[in-house]
Amino acid sequence: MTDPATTATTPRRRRLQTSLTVSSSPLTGRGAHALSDEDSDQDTQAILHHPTNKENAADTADLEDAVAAAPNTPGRVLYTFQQKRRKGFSNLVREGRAAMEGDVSPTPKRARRGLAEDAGSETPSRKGKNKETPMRIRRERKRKAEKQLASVADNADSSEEDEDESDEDSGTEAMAGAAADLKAVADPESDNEEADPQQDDDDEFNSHDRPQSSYASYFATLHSSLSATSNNTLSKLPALTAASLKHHLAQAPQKHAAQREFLEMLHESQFLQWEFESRHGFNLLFYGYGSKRRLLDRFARHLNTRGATILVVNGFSPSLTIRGILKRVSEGVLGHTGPVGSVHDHLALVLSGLKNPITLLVHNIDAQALRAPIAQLVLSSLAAHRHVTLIASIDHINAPLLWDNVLAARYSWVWHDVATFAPYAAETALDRTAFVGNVGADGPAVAGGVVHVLRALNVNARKIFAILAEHQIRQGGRTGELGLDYAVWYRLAREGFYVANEMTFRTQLTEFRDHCIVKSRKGTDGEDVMYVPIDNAVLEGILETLEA
Amino acid sequence: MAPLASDSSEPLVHDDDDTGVCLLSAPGTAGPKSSKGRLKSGPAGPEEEFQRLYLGREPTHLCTRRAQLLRRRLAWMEKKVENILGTLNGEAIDQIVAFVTSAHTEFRPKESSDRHNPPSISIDPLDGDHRELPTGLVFAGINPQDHDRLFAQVRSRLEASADTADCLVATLPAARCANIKSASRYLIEQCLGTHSLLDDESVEEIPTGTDSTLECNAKLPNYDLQRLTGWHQRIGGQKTLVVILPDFESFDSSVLETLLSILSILHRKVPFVLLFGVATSIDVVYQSLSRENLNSLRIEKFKSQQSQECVNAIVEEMIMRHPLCVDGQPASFKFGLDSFRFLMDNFQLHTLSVLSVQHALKYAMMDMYYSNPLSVLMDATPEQTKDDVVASLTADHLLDVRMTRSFRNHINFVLEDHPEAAAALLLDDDALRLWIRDALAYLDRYHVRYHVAMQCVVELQNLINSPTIRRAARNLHLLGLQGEMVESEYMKMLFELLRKRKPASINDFLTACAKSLTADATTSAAFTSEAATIAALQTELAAFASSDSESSSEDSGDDGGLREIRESRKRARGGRTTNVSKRLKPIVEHVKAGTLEACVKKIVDFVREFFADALKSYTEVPLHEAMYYSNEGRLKKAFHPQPRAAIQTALGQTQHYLPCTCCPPGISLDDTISPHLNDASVAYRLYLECGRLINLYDWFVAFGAILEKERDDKLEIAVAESEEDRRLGIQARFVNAIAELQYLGFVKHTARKTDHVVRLTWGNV
Repeated sequence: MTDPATTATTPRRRRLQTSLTVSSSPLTGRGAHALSDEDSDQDTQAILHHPTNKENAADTADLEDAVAAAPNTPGRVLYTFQQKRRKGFSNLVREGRAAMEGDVSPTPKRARRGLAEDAGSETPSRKGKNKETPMRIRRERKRKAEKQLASVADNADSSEEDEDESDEDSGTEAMAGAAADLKAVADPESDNEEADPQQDDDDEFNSHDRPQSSYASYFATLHSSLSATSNNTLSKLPALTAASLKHHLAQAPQKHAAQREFLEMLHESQFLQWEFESRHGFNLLFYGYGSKRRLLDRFARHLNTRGATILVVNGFSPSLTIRGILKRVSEGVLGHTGPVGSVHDHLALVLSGLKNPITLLVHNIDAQALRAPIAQLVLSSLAAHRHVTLIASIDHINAPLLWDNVLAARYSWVWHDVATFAPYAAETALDRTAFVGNVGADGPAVAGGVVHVLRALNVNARKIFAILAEHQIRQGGRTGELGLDYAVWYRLAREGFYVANEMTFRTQLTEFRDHCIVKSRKGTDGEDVMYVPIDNAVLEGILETLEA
Repeated sequence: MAPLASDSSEPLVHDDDDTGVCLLSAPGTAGPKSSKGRLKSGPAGPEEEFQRLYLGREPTHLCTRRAQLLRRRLAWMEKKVENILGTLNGEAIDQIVAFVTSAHTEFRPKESSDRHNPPSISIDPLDGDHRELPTGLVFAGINPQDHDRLFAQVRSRLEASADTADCLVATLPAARCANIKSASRYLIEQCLGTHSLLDDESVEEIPTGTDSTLECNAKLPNYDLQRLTGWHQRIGGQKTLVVILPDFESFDSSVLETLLSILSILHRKVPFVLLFGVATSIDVVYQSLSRENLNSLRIEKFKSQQSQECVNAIVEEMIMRHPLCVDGQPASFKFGLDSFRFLMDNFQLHTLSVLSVQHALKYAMMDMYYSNPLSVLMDATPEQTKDDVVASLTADHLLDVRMTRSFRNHINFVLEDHPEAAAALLLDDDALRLWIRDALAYLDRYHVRYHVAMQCVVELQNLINSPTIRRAARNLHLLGLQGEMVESEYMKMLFELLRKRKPASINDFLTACAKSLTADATTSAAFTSEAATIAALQTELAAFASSDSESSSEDSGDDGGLREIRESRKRARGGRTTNVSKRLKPIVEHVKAGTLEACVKKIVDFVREFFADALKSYTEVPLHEAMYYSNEGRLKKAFHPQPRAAIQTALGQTQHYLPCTCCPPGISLDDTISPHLNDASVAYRLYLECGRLINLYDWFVAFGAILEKERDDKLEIAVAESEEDRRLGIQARFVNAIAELQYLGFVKHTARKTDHVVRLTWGNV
């Protein structure tokens, strides 16, 4: 790998630190072997299991760059040493995975790439990579490499490198190789202090084979647990649009359809019993795997035919607010219209106004929108009311943690396990999109995200946002035509004393844009028109939560 | 918003509905106004409420009977619990009421003098201590939800009793007092009544005090507490306003401080009394209130009965007592061993709340009457009803009776001596009906005897009177339900200690036993022989007590009859007698007849025999299934669920929910994951093999590898056009499965590494 003279250098800082003993036999043979095997290793590396061979194979890629850049410079040794140390771990991990999962375990993309490269050119060229990696990722890598370069030049330790373990990433390697060179130039005295990479690798393996002192094993496990997963990313998979997701899900086979139907029939036979329990003042809570929406809707229909007034609430609906629920109760059941004041006042109004029994069906009382303490307070107060029967379902495994003993006593649940095994079609619709693709590009779909960002900003920024949002709500209509002229928005913001000058306004604007809360397009007269890429209903909810 | 969608597969709220809320009005009603209470308030017909069992073959009148019995039973329970807690907390309530009434006795004359010259209430610094707000801290147990009941009782007492007719009570629960505005509005609402709030004209504020900063004609907003002063004067200026804060700990301290300072200012004109329900300790009051506020309060402390005591009383009165109806009222409700243990464990280890026990009791009763057809046999007091019910039992009922375990035991027992009787029971319905009557009578007798014997055990405890021996009633009952109570270590210890007692105290014990044995007609009917034996034993003992009184005087009156042993042991130990040696003196099994010892032994043997018979396990009594609620599983599911375990079982061991032939049963040795499983289940089982961080891509590949096997098993329905399409399909299903797992709370996204999720559950922790 390197020439024997460099390999045999003595005192080692690292050895002192880890207090590992190293066999003094020179490893020149292995190094030479590696060099000779360099070409043939390319295609076999994925199936090699001998650690040392793998080690060498893994290093060939960076060697090419590094050797080309600065052959025989001592600084390069430093770099390979660092690179190797990580490799040692990742190899171990890979081995472990292979042992654990057998053939099921995916061979990381190295195998595929190796094949691809064989088909194409013999040596991996940057040009070939460019096709694979999108522009954005490459830019990211470049940025990281620069950072690395700076840190190495400062003689800082490689905490940064631990995070971006991009073994296969030749872009980074090239940069890092350059960084190593730079380091060699900057710090020539430290050469002879550096350890021999091959020997140190040996140390790593030895240390794993033989019993270690407890602290060493502690750090080893701590470290390995961090890097126990491969570096594959979903970017290798083809993008999945929402439409194709829906299409493919519809095609998925229905497993255990007969048993599921039987299960549902069993549940339905309990309707009368549930009704009986709810009549006697208990509130019903349903749990178990599978969407309970259809079942409970049917139960609601059953109750409805028996003469109950039922308010159905979809807890998982992203635009749901606790005010919305109260409003529906006060308007639909009490027939009350007009100002209602704060949520507490509204609740008091509803509680004192309820004279007829009403059943409240809440799908997913543990949903994000209802997890706020105020929402649970309102719901539990309603549930404790004499005339209210609450029927609810939970899905999150830790949902009972929502309630302390006071709340739980107010709810006075009777629990029922109704595992339906039905797919969570509506409930997880939002979660699914998170996996589908780039959420950031389309703006955060979830109201919670926007609220989170806005909470982090100061009051004036929130007010500025509110100007635009309110304007947009007033406009109504389709998303395409919405928006506020930049100049108008600025004027309004200044009139409200939210900004003093355009500078600050622009700063806030950048903040909004960075988080994709606000976007801009060119208006008819060439002016920038700013708009919020969020549905009006959701927007109203956001404003409401911000005011609360 | 469609009133009643006809297609039942459509969701009630459409996904694109903005609000996510939908209202279904009751059918046949035009608007919300006309939907008269057909639920909860108006009792629905029993046929509507109760299903007819035996696939609808149950006679209507028996079904109706079950419904009626339940209704009567629930009403009884409500009343009884209220009564029990009322008596238990009677002392505390008395004290609180006395405190409230006396708090302002020193005010009254002063106020009446104030009324003569209302415009100038001078605030005399000298009577500053009178201006302190009288405050009662009520330590009402650690469960805030139990406070409500106590305060409701206080409230009703205050409003009812004659000498406190001048009280007006307002309750301010913390939930209604998020800010000072809503708190004070709620307070005013309760004092004035809501109607006057809406009617602003009638509430004209007349600022009278010189300290009022308001202009005369300014109308006050409806949340200004100054309104109270004007109103108070108008109604005579006599009433004391009692403000109850039932859950002190839940209050926001800033709201509380503002409220208290306003009240202490108003207190100059309106006499207030505050009552705080405190769940923890007095420290919380000092921590949440400022010094100024504390200075303005005159605090007194009250303690309500602990919830353990309350539950003991409930168990004693409502579960242990014999369930013979008195004047057509049901008495107690019997629990089987497991369900009773669950009830007590849930109380002792989880909630410590009387309310939760009450709920569980109620649910158990509902379940008993709702699902057990034999429950018609319960509460049949007048002999006539019993006859009627037994006569109207259908073949299904009789079959059920014949299938009970206790009936089978009984048959086995009878079979040896009277095979023809056993055959008659099995074949002849009329014979069985007769037997049921006898069995019910025997059950009644057993319950009476059990209850009295338990009282005797309590008497025995009292006799020994040591804190290490004393057991709560609920634990005694648990012991009794387990059966073989006399054989238990605890009872053996009691008997041994009994033998070491003085004759006089033993005599007291026997008297007490005899008293409870002959407490009323039913008990004395059940204990004719025992009562006679006790009387005989007492006379025997009395003879010894009188004859030994002189001779044992030298032993300082202590256990005269044991001189002989004492002598021998004195000799052996060199004549030393210590208290310890007295206590350690062995109990000799073979005693000479005619001595006091023999008599005591006779008594103990009798008591043991009596207990062994009366306290035998309920499972030995025929037909106990009709009386004892033993559906522990239902209670556990309803009140102590394991939602997480249920979901993990559904995903990890699907066969418990979906009994299918395609999936490998249970824990198979090869831990391969079957492609027949649900997608989420496959993903979950892969998840179980992962570490802290999970790479989504690798997860996907593994997931895909398992789904690949689908093709081999011919599970696919739609044959994908291309390989690419198939791959996309698997990807879509993977995304769906992961989204479900995330929704259920098994994984969450992390920014620590690209496309990784964090595993959130480990085992069952």
